Parts: sequence; structure tokens; C-alpha cells
Amino acid sequence: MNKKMFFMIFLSLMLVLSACGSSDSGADESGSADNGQVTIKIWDYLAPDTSSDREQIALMEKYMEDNPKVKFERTYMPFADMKTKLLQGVGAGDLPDIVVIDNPDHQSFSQAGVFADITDKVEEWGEADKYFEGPMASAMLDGKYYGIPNNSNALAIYYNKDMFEAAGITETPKTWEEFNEAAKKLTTGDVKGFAMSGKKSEEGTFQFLPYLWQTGADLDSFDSSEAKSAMSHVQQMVDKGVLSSNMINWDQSDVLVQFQTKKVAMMENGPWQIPMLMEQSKDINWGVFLMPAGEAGSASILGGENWAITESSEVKDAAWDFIKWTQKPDVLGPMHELGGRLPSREDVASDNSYSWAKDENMKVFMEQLKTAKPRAYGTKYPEISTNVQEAIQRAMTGEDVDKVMEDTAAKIEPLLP
Amino acid sequence: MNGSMAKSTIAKNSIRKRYFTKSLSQYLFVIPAALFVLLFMVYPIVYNIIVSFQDLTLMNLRQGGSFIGLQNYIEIVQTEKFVIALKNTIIYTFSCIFFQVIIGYLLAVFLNQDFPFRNFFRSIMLLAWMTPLVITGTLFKWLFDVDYGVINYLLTSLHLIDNPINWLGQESTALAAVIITNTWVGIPFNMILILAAMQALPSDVYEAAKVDGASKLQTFSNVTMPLLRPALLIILVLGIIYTFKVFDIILIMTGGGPVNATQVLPFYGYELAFVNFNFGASGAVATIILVILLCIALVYLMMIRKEEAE
Repeated sequence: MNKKMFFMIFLSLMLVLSACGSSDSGADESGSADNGQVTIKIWDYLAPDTSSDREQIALMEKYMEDNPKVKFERTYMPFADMKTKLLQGVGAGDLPDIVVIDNPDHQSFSQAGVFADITDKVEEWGEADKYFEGPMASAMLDGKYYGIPNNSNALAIYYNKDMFEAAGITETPKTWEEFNEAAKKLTTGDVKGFAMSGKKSEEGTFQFLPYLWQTGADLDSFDSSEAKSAMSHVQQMVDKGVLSSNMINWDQSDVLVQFQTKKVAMMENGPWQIPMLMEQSKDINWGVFLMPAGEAGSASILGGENWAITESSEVKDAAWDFIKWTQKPDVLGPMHELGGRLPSREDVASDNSYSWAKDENMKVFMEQLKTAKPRAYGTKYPEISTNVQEAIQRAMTGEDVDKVMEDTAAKIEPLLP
Repeated sequence: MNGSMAKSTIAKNSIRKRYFTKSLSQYLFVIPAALFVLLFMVYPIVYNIIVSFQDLTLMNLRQGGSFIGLQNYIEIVQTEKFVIALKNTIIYTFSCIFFQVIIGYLLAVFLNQDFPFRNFFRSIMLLAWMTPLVITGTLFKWLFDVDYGVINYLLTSLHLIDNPINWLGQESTALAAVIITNTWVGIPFNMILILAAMQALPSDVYEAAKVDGASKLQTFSNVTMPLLRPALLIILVLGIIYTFKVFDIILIMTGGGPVNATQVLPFYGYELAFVNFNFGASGAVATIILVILLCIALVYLMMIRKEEAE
């Protein structure tokens, strides 16, 4: 009797399961060409109501107007969820056609076979050489193209002009020494001289790497005296009290809040904060200057988004046509202006009619981009970054820099390509 | 003889049949729930256990990883981070539960008395528990802030400390700060459960104790505690399981930092899978958590059985 019952239950379970399965495969029509009508699915992490979101929507609307046969299905997901969603997509075999991806992750996902090799298409298009080297390199793996860089950003230093005046500083600092001196002068009472992020996330690594490069060191020489001097530089700012010890809990938005509430006189941040400051902080008289040079000169870090087409996409050609269209100078220029983003294309970047050539602060970021390095450390980069974050946190909570750097170098070494 | 035997089998069969058709409908009612459990709970757990024996990373996610036996477990257990995470999780779980239950109990005793607006206070206490952890976590992050946090302001103006403490920014205090936060969140829930159990206690035993001249302390240890024991056991076990799985509050308040001061097992598992893309190792961590929680549940079952036997 029991057996019979179980058989019944099992049978009904199977029925339900198979029903689920078939309806799933039957409903999955999007993403494929259907009587000339093409639906392109896009995933991105451009938060609603931001300027970059406005740009993305405008792009799709304009393209649909010109190409009535194309329809877009855009899915927004928070930045932190993007990688998880992509992984789930890979596991479930359900990926969109186009992905907007943070450029340090591009190589990992290309290697994993998530993104399509579009070398043929890019070569036929023949405009790849018009891009800056760093951004383009982030979309490539082993000499092959897996995407196109869309927009770039780099870190520079924002400063509060009124506080500079009150402290009697007339020129913006150009070297580490000048910077330290200025930061010291600007630290008074409640106000700290400088703010940056040392959070235990990619943002922490992102904000620290420029200092490492400014000394001439790199991740493969993390235990060198140059690398140690970079870490000491930041540690001493915390020790002297010009940088809050709470920086290890701040992300880059928290850093912006410190600046907006006039708790700090300078902050390390990216160009995506310009629209925020212009809209919300009209009471602050602010400016931007290049990251101060270390022993090996000026350096900054390259961030930004790339377009990529997924390997599983059935409408690769339509997707490529769209991406190609977004990269036309007369589309890219006005659209990036709308989105408050900086182009990765040299010809658009040097066009004098756009805001990045006219706006004083945007110009600084454009200049900073020239010394911005990509995080191209192979597919184990996320794990390397975790170790760097730990090193920052250990040093900022007072551990000996020499020991921290040597420990970390030993952990990073096997992970480097 | 034969005829009667045949008759009785037929009768038995028809009884069986009736019983079967009657209970079939009952089984049908169970199917949605059973399906749900199978699909969304049993399957992920089994899949997770399988993954923990595989070398699954981002690179071979599409093809599936190869079987590598216990290697993930051996490697994970040997890492320094795992040991720290395990230690932190245990400290976190037991101190949270300890304070939650004790303070919850005291509040329950208080709210069990008769006074005006009692129900209002009971429900207002629950607010802390109903608030999403994202909000609570963010609020406490601000309260604990070194530069403008209210807690440091109070402590310095009361001259308890000279310089503000960087609660979440130094290894010695970060875990304590998170424990304080979670204790605050968990107290109302424990209070309500204990209060409910208290109100179900028979009043005649107390009257008898009073007549016998028992002191307050004697009443507590000889009447209240034994009667509350079964309920308290359930509260403890549920609390431990719930607290052991801590994740969101860590993600919001510290991200496991500074260094590894607030690294806990569930968060470590998350980092392994979704930051470092090492799914096999992450599966191993998740399975270890599952085994630990199963052990706790088993201890509970044993205690209950013992109690019932008595």
C-alpha cells in the first residue's frame, strides 16, 4: 500500500516537473529573431535616475526610432548583484545578449566563456585603434576582442576651494610632500584634510592602487620598498589624523558624503560624482586637481564600463550593430555628455565641442585618464584584490607595514598570471 | 473455511481501498508543500553538497567541475581565515543568544505585570525586530561612528572615555559592536516568545507555592524555570540556528573587516563564491555550517526525548 502511494506521489511529481520544463522551453522566444523582429536583451547596473541611466534609456529609444525592427528588453540590477546574476545566468543557461560590465571583470568572464569573441567583427569595423590603450586592453584577452570600451573614468582629487583659501594655500599640491603639507594645514578641529575609501571591497583596492603605481611598484612587487612606501604614505595620514581611521569602513559614496558635509577638505573620487556635487552641493565651492605625483610620477586608476556580447546570444549581429552605432562619434559624444561620462575614444575625447573639453573639472579628469592604468591582472584578480583589501585594513589598524606587505606579497604571488 | 477466508480478504481489501482513497486526497493536499520543499530546499542542499566535492570555479562553471573528493574541505579547514571565521561565528552566536534571552526574559517578566498601556509597550518593543536589518545595520553604523557617532558622544560627555572609540574600525571592538547591534535586534523576539510561554503557565502552582511560603527566588528556580524549560529550549535552539546564519548585518556594518575581525562563516562562504568565484570551497563552507546546525538540532531532539521519557 505504501509503495503504491509513493508511486502515485512520484508520478504526479514527475508530471508537474515535466510540465514546468516544457512550458519553460516553450516560452523562451525572446532573444531570437522572429519574423524580422529582433529583441535584444541588455543587462546593466546603471542605477535608476542617475545620469548614466538617462543616457542608456536615450540610446535605446533613439536606436528603436531608427530601427523599428529592433526591440530592447533592458534589465537593471544593482552593481553588487551583477556578477552573481551573471553567474546564475551561466549556470542556468539564461543570459542576455548584451552586458554592460565593469572593466576589471571583463577578462575573468571572457575566460569563463561567457562573452563572445568578436575579433572578426571588430577588425571588419576597423575603428579599434581610435580608442585609448588602457580601456581597450581591458576588453581584450590573449589578443582577441571580447567587447568594446564604452566610457572611462579615473580617480583624481576633489578639493574645497574655500577651505584652501582659509588655510592660505594658493596652489594645488603636485607632489606627495606638497600634498601632505596641505592636508596637515587643512586639518583643523572637526575637519580632516583628506578622505579616501579603504573599504573591504573592490572600492578599497581601486582607491589604493594609484599610490602603489605612483611609487613605481606594482602588484608583482608588493614587498618592495617602493610598495611599502605607498602603504606607509596612507598609514601615516591616518596616524597623523589628517585622514579618519574610519576610512576602512567608507565606500566611495561615504567619502562623497564626508566632502559634501564639509567634514573633509579633499577627497579622492571619480568623475561620476560631478553631477552629484553640481546638483546637491551648490553651497560648496569645489574644484578638481590631478593626483599628486610620487617618485615615479603621476598615476591613476582606470575604471569604466565595457559593452560585451554573450557567447550564448542568438542575435549577435543585431547586438553588434547596436553597439557599433553607439560608438559613432556623433552618437557617443552627445550621449556621454548627457550621461556625464567620459569617452574612451580618442577622437571624441579630443573634440572641443563637448563638455569634457570645456568644463574645467571634466578637463582634469580627461587629463588624468592619460596616466590611468587598467587592472589587467588576469582572471584571478578578484582574489588578488581581496588580499590587497586585507593589507590596507591591517596597515590602517596599526599593523607594521613591512610585515603586512611581505605577508600579502606571498599570498598574491601564486595568483598573478 | 475457504469461503470465509475469501470473504475476509475481500473485506480487508475494500477497507484498504477505502482507506487509500480517503487518504489520497490528503496526500494531494501535501503535494504543493512537498514540491516546494523538494525544489527550493532539498535540491539546493543536495546540489550544494555535490558542489563541495567538486573543483568548480568560474572557468568551468559551464561544463561542471571535476570530482576531487575531500580536497575542498581539507584546504578550507587549513586556512587561517576559516579558523578565525569559525571562532567569530561561535563567539557571535553564543554572546548574542546569551544577552538576547536574558534581557528578553527580564523584559518579559516586566511586561507580564499589569499596568496601563501594557499592550502598547509590548507592540512598540517589537518594532526593533520588525525593522529591516539593512536599516538597523546602517543606523548602528552611524551610532558607532568614530567622528560623529552618538555612542561616542554620550560616552565622552559622561567622561567614561577620553577619546572616541573607533568601534567598527579596530579589531578589538568591531565584533562587540556587531554583537550589541544584533542583541538589540533580537531582544523583542525573545521577549515575545518568553512572554507567551509565561502567560500559558498555570496560576494555581504559584498560589500553592505562595501558600507553602516559597520565597521569590525559590518560586523562580523551582516553579517558573522547570515549567518554562521546554519553551526556553525551543527558543534557544531556534535562536542559535537563526543567529549562526548571520550575514546581512555583517555585510552592511563591516564587510567582515577590519581585517578579519568580524569574518563569520556564512559571509566567508559568500566571499568565496561570489567574490573569488571558488564555488567548490564555498560549498564546503556551506556544508560545514549545515553539519554544525544539524548537530545542534540533534542535541535539541535528544534533550526533548529525555524530557518526555521523564
